[in-house]
Amino acid sequence: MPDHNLIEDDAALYVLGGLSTSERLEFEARLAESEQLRALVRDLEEGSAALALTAPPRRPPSGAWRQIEKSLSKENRPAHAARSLWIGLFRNGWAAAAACFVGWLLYALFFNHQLHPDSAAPSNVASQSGSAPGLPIPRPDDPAPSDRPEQTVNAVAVDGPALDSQMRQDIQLRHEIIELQSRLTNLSHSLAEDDAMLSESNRFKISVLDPAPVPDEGSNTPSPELQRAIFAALARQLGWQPASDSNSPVQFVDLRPTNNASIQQSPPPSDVANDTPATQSNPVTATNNLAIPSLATKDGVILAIGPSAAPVGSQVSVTIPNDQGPDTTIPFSIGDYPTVITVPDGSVITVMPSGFTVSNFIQYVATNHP
Amino acid sequence: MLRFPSNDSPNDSLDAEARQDAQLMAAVAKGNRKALAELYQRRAPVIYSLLTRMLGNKTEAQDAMQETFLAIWKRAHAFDPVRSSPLSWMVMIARGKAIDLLRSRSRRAARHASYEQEIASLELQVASQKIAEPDDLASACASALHNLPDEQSQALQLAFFRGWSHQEIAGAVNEPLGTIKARIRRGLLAMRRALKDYHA
Repeated sequence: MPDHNLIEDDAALYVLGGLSTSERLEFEARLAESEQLRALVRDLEEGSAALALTAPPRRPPSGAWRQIEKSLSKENRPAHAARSLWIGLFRNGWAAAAACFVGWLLYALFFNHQLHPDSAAPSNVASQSGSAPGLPIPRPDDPAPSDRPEQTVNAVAVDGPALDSQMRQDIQLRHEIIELQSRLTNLSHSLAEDDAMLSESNRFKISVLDPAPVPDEGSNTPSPELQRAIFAALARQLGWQPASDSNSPVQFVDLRPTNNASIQQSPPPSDVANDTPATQSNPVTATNNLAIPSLATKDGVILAIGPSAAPVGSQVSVTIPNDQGPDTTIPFSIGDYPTVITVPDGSVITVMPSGFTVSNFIQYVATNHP
Repeated sequence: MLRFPSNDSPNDSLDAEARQDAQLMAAVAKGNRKALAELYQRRAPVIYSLLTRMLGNKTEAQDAMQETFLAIWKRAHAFDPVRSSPLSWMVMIARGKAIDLLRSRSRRAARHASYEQEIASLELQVASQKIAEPDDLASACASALHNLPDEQSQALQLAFFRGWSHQEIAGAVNEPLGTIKARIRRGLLAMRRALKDYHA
């Protein structure tokens, strides 16, 4: 059976990463349909692993795990600080592209599911290279369709052209999904590279701390005055603005584990307060906007909070982690104008909007990891 | 000692070692760093040995190992124990990283001279390992590889360790492409059988 042999050869090529993208996609579509083929791939992979064991034994360098741990720390980010909008130009471009791909993927999955509600749902994610595992595999309880072309032809003959058309559509959609998954993987790699680049110590990262997206409430972006405040912080950080500028419409507070700083609200300079319409013109609508912008630097996080994030009088506490002793908690209340706080990495900011119960508090974790 | 599951019945066949790997993998998928550390303790030597052999450079091997474990961390949720054994899944990831590096070097050419050089280095490495590890699974695998016909062993190793394409190998040894494909496929299955025999 020459065709069967070709499939076996393709299986070996697939395991060794020797198929072209289109061949790989075609093979993965067949793989999803054939238990026998999956078993062969598994055998070939284990044969590859056996081959790997023939490598002369080497002991990994002693510092290797520490390097991995270090990289992991950069990779990790708390779930409730997950929404991170890079204001840098290319970053926004990638984020938008990723959103588009995810949208297409969901559309394709949904459409496929509508066509075949009982068909196999991919349970795994396709890898970006043919040599790595991770393919769409039907659920174990799914009927196992044949992988033989001649049997497929017979089935079409029995059920007519509608089934033929449906099957073609199904295969095409699977290909599209696999292709999209592959592109998404590539995109996530690009994002990871961007993250690595942005984690360099001489770069700033501007992001948005947002506890959770609220459905049906539209975009939850920081208010213009908080964005202005964070840019003022950036200017200050870069030395464009003096550290002690009495005319600044923003109060800057530097909180560190050792300085026991507290936050005292003081009124802004009168002439500046009159020039900052954001807090005065729109104080009410801002109560629903809990997104706060932050600026990550090499040794901490600078974040802006003010009446557009939570109502005036809302209680805020900043908990600064301390590895050597108890954590430091610094409370303050939101005043009439933005406060820019510098906190160490890992600090937790808890906001209890006025009128809310204690159980409705909102927490943000300030992290300078990408 | 390293062990593989037998493959006849994937759900029942995970032996203790592979089961433990699978449990660790499940914990890693949930974000458990200690599980990743343990997985590293257990499997880093195999991964690093493979990468060193493929890349021939300790620094690159260490970089690739770091990327491999980061990929394991990120992709553990996609690991399916029915479809792959944990070790073969990790090996395939590591190999993918090494192949990417090999391809980026652009120093490989499917010429007969480089073919001879590659074969010479591969044979030297297999021979040295047979002396170092006489009784364990690694030795059984090395022995299985050694017992393959030369042309099959060479094609298999060039494809697996050096990332040569089947076409490149066919061109270097002046054999039909179909012959090379069959040699490599049968070679991989022979290695798989060696594992099975070892556990039998």
